[in-house]
Amino acid sequence: MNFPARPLTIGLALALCVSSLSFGTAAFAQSSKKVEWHRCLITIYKSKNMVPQACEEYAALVAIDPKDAQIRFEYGAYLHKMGRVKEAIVQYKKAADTNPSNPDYQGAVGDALVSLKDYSGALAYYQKAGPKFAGKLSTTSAYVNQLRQINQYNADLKKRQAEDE
Amino acid sequence: MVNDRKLPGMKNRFKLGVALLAFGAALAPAALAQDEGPSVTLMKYVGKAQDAMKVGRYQEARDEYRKAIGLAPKTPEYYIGLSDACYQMKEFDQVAFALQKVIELNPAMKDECAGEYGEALFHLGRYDEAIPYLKSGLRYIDSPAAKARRTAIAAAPPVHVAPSAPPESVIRATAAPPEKKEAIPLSSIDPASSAGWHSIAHKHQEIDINKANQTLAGAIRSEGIVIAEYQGYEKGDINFFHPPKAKFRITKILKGPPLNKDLPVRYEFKERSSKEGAPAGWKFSDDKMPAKGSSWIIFLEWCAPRDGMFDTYEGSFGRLPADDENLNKVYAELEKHSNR
Repeated sequence: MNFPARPLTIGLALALCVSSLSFGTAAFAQSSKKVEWHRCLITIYKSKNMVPQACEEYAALVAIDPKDAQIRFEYGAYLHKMGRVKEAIVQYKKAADTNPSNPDYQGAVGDALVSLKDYSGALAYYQKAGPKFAGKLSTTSAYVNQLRQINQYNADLKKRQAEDE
Repeated sequence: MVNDRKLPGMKNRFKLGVALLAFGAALAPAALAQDEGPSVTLMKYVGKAQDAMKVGRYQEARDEYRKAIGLAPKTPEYYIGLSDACYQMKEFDQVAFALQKVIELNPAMKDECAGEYGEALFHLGRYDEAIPYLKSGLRYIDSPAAKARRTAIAAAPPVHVAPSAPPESVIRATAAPPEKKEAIPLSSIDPASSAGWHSIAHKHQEIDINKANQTLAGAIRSEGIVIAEYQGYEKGDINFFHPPKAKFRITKILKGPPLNKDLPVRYEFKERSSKEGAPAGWKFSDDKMPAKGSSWIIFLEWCAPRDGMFDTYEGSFGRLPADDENLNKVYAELEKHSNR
């Protein structure tokens, strides 16, 4: 008895797809559980002000899904709150690179750079953030201009003094 | 702040458990012939619970798992099912209770349940208790044992709980007594005999009608059937023919009207149809009464007391210990009657 090859191949392909889907679903479920449990631990550690442990859990969350921009953003926000601004900027930038259209991620980088007094750098990110951060853009821009004018004035003053001498 | 994400539950673990049960039932008929396997009623509850879970009727699933646990309180898989259903409804106190029972009944499953248990404790605000369980769960989930288990679960076929024939003991217990159709003998068939036609007498056949009703099928026809806990008895002038007033506390009503939880019962020491007297040397003492706190199935002939006490069906026959075997028989018989 001859069996047609094509239906057999299709059947085999379908069986493989179903089995891979079931394994894929199991992997997703496992990953979801891990995320949820890490989040539980983060909440607990934050409530107890256990900073290193909370950072450890955030790092583990990031390791589970490095492309999850939201987790990186939250991690960055926590680091920023704890005063670890440079590390926060790293996380904010990665979140912004993963999801450039999200104004909050771009704006967060700008805010962190402002706290480090890198106003020119902050301007670039406020511009990328769009209308939501227009206020901060104009304020920072005006401040940068003022700083430039002050620096220019100081430079001119030094030059005149040097010439006078 | 924890994101309120919908997570898949522990269906896979329960699926494996019930698949193993089904495999056991299919592949070990000889062994099962000795202990008759899970009852029809129990598997009905489990099947209903699974069906309800599939379509998202979690409250129904929870209730069915609770009934299954009532019949088989030492089966961890049913507690897992219960925790799954309660998780979906965010009843974390129930999730914590169920998983605690799983760990109690099967300490080997501690690691497997640790993560979910920790999560439940977290939601209940028990942070200090939650931390070690959450960490244990995270360690376990990546372990080779967990991976092997997930592979086994993925490879297990879907569970189909089909109704099967009730075990023989249930069939025997619920069978109606056989009708005896014997010919009534005539004293004489000779019309010329001095006895004469008109004096043809037949031997009166003694048929004990009450005794014929001493089956579970008869008891099921009682007006009330309850599960009750024995609390004690009233002291007084007690002898074999003057039974005491036993105090029971109803825990569940299987049939009949909603009676008061306190149930005074005429605690007869013999079956009503018995014509035997007291056994030689019988004397009432505390050991003639059941243990306090013991659970009994009580068949109440009438749900109205007589002289301040309820009568049980056929006297002492109408009290059965509420163990799994008797409960299964009663549930099976009640179901049979409800299907008519």
